[in-house]
Amino acid sequence: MQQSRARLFKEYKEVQREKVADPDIQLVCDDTNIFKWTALIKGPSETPYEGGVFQLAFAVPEPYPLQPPQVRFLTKIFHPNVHFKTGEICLDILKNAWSPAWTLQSVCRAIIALMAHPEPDSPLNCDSGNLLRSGDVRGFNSMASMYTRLAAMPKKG
Amino acid sequence: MAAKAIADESGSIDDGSDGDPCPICLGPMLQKSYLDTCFHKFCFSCIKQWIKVVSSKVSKQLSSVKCPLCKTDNFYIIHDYDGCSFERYYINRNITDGFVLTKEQRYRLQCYYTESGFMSDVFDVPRFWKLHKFLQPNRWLEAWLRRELQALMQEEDVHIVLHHFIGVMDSFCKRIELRRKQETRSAETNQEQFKAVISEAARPFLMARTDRFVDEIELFLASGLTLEAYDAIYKQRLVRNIRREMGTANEEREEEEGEEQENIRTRVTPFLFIFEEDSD
Repeated sequence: MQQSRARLFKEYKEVQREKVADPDIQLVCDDTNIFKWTALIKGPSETPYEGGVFQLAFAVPEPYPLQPPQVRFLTKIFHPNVHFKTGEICLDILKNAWSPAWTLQSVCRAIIALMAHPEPDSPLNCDSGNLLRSGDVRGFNSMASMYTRLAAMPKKG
Repeated sequence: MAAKAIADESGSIDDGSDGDPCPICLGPMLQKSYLDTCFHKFCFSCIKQWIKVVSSKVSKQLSSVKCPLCKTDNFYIIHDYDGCSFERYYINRNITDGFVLTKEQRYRLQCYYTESGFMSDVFDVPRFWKLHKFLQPNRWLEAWLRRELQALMQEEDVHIVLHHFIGVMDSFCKRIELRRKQETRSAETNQEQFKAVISEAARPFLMARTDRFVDEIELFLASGLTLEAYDAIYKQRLVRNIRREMGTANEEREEEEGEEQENIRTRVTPFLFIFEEDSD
């Protein structure tokens, strides 16, 4: 408990310092609980998520960093590896391939990379996965960008 | 903001060590340790904890662990490196690279924890040099050297190092023999040079234990004994050494007096042993 707390404080300090360096990620710690974090990440350019801002929720377990944080999308997203209803993310580094050298910040970067490079062969969102697997990139792109516009962009007017 | 307050507070204390933090706790490196293949650094306790977590997820005993930074397979952790020696912590605590010290090797290692020169009164080292005995081949040297290196390096395969040492010694002896006809050298010069040559050859492998090793090799050569005979005398002395260390100051004084007489009795004439061996 004490170890994970100490490590999260270090990450907190690091995030304060890095804020300027990585404009695509904004990590915020809960005011009262250092084990709860939220992040705002920008959709990567040249993807249907471009222009959107996606919110992630982090729940850090007590044995962190020996165990990975639980991360899910709070913002609705149309992506083969993200559950459409719960926002759960299928990403190896959040499961078997976790390493204690990852940080919350680097997990955000991995998620941005996953947005740019979906893995349709291990889908959590079958509709989205099937579109890509059948080669319908146009169909996928238009669905994904529609949801980006609906859920991840500030409402106009 | 509670988190911010505490973070700022701790910031002033450990900012100095932030240059090279442990990738696991992100804090200053405590008991800095390295993985054996990729040489990435971690706190000893952090990487041990991680290995524990990884091995708890698999049913069979792990023999290697992937580096958290680069995923290279590693077999042990190098820790407590003090500039010349280090300890190893094997991922598979049972196998230790398939090499476990034998009883004989353990006894040799134990010798390195005694004071240097505690055997010097048993074998006549100066005589060995005076009579140029080092120029005569010693057919037990190889066996002795192999065991010694295995104990010190904690490795089974010491073949290359062994032959490197023997080669160095041989060429030294040949050099001396050639020059012997032209110039007369004092026994002390030969002794010094011999030790310097071995020391130079051994240091990359034995590091902090080099100097003692050179003394031990000289002692063994000077003894002129077989491995078994040498061990018997050495062990006898070791036991007495331990007993003396445990005794009180008073007893110690008494025993020292008695020991001096005993030394005279136990001073060994090496030839007797050789004949014994040959008559078998």
